[in-house]
Amino acid sequence: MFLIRKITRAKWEPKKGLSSEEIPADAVTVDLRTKGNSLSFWKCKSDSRENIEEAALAIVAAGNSVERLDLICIGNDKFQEDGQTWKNTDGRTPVGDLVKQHVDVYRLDYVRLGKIASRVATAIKAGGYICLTKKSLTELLATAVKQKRVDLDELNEKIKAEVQKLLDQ
Amino acid sequence: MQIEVHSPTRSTASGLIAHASGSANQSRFSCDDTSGFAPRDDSPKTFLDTIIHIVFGKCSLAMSLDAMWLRKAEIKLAYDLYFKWQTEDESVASPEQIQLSTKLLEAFETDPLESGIDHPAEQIITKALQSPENQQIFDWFKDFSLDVERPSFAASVLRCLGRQTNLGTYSWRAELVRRGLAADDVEIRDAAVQAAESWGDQDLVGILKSHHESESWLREYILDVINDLGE
Repeated sequence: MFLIRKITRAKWEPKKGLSSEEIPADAVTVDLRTKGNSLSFWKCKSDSRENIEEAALAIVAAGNSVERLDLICIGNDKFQEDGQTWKNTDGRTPVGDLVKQHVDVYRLDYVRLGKIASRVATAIKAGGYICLTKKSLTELLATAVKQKRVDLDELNEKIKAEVQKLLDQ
Repeated sequence: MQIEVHSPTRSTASGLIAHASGSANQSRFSCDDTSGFAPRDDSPKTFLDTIIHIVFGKCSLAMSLDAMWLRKAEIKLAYDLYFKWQTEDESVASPEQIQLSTKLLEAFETDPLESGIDHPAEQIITKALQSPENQQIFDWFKDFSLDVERPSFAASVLRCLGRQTNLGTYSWRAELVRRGLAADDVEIRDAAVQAAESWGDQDLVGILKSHHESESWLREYILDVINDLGE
């Protein structure tokens, strides 16, 4: 199993005053913002693009607008090595068959959050990162609508308009 | 014990914005009971330094509440005078510009900008654009989006501007993308590409094509956007 999370790619780049091995604190505080000492991840069977796109679909369908998405993909074995704990929780997405494809990594403290930050940084360096453009995300949504995996009316107005435009073409 | 007064080091727009947010680009003036106010570093004396020195003179640590209140009022007066003096130069930030940047900074500090999720800063931008001084506001947004002293702030503003449909003229958008791509900081360059992608102007493809990107991941994204917009 692999765990997927949305990040802001540029924030993880080396910053002035920090070495290339150091993780910018802004990246952690912005992209790894915990709630109730938990972090939300989407899960998928493999790290193939097709599988990661399923997580992308779940995330983008739950948003307010279609915008470039940066995702990192980390094997759950890495989390096991780090002593992380996670549990299945329902994901917030209108794509019905993806609701159960969600976990919360919980019981996070400063050290375990730091380990996640290291895993994210390593995944980025190792190419465990995928960027989906606005157009490719809109296409994913349009396909999901056609396949009746998501109802167009359940999408936010701005997303609905983008998808409708593509469906009308 | 020392009391510190922070003041902008430069008379540029970005220097004044730096003061408003209370972070970078500040020189420090120390005050203790022996030396009065004096610059700690070698920065040149400014008009503001002089005012503060005249207003405060020597500094005593024994202050009543009234005296404290009076000092705060005096500091405010000193800054008001400073800003009034500075606005004679067109290149510096006006109090309204500083106020707007402060609002945006606070919004981004409270809630980081997240891909695909609405942000309160968008409403601040929309409201500001309803001002009759519309052209001036566009110039301010350009300043904010290219603020190299505060790249994360600049990138966040640029990404929020990208979320506004039919914003400004094509030439304004093109200049913003071109100058954003020329920035040293990768966050600003990335935001410039995102803005171009979001606005969807096919004419921006030429600007993207002519940009030589050093970061491989951003280069790939730029190529994707060129393909998407070019179709």
